[in-house]
Amino acid sequence: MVNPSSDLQARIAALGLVDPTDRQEEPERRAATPLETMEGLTGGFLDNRKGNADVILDAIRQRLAESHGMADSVVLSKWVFSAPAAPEIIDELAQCDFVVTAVGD
Amino acid sequence: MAVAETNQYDAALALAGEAGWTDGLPIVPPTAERVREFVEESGRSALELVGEIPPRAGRATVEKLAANAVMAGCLPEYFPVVIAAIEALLLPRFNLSSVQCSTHIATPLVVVNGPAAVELGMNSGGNCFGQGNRANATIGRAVKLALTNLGGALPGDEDRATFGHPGKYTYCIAENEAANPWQPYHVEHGYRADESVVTVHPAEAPHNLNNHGADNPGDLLTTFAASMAIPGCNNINVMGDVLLVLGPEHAEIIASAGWSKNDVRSYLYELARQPLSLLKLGGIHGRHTHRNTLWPRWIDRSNDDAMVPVVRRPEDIHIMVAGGPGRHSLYIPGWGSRITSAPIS
Repeated sequence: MVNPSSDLQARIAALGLVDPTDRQEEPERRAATPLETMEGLTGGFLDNRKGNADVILDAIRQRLAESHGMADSVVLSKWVFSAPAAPEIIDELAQCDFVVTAVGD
Repeated sequence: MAVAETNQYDAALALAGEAGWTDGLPIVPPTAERVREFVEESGRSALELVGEIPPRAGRATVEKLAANAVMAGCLPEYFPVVIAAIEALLLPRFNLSSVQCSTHIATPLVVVNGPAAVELGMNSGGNCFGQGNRANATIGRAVKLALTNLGGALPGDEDRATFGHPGKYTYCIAENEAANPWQPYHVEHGYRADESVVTVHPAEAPHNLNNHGADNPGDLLTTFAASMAIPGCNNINVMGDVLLVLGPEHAEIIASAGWSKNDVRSYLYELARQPLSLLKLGGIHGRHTHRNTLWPRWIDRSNDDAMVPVVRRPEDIHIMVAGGPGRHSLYIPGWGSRITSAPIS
């Protein structure tokens, strides 16, 4: 949520209201440094278990191995697409040089 | 003086609309005084953190929740129910983040059990899902306003619902314990009868089960089972919990024949099923259904004639009693996650 304009904040104060929202600053995010090559690297592949996610991930994995020199891969599946990946899955993927995931529908 | 107050009220309504605080209906302005009164009623500190509401992890302090309860039109004595509902919603089994953001139709249904339901004058009888009762109407609305304002699940933004349903304005009842021939829901789930408890269900809209003809549990529940095995509902695809709300007259037919709630669950679990061949035509995974679902392991995924139940286990069919006279019950499918409860303190 973004901070309300100072005008809005002033009006909330003038009317003596309590803001029912929690307006936090968005945390700063940055893109990962792009890889210059995949030669010799290990890729992580996270299947979220949506239909066909495994199909597209497998195709990408094969292409990276055959044409881009990816040396190794770790393939994992979430228990269900709607829940966050379990911490042990995140820990294992954190050991990889890069990660590919898929929604699949 | 009166004109000045009216102007202030209009200004507060305009501001609430502009700031995106409302559900589209007018609100009661969350003045510092009103909010303080609600906080005091809760017996908690204004800055106590009840939890962070997904998806935006807004901090649901007692004061922020009170502001939403005031806006919804609650009376101060309703506020502890709102807090307990938020506590139940934040239990991981409910999977609130996904319920808030899904394209699916679900929104939390709030059900109150125990003495609080009576003390607050909640409607558990005729038209309990409809209009006409301030506690039902405003507690449900307060919960939804809090989820939206603190969780950031605004329609079209983080709330990606294809349709939504009218329960997203308010969706709250009490169980009709007086007409329940078995244990009340909260007692069945381990609470004392004299405890007040809030239960939340990631719920579709209620679907009516009209059966004026059956005079025995078997006939009655056979028609219910056929109505529950809906290929388009999330449950048969991803399982989770479902809710059956028995009208008092239907509950009486079942209980007077000596059937327990477990008997009802077992019967429905066996009958409310669809063949794999049908489920492969749609749902969430279509023809890949057999690979991606959370069905029980015993289902033969290579057999198109295999019958798939609507939930993984009989106990995932939750049963309550509510409503007034009439031979109707309700089926309320879920989102695919769990029904959860929390005590009112």
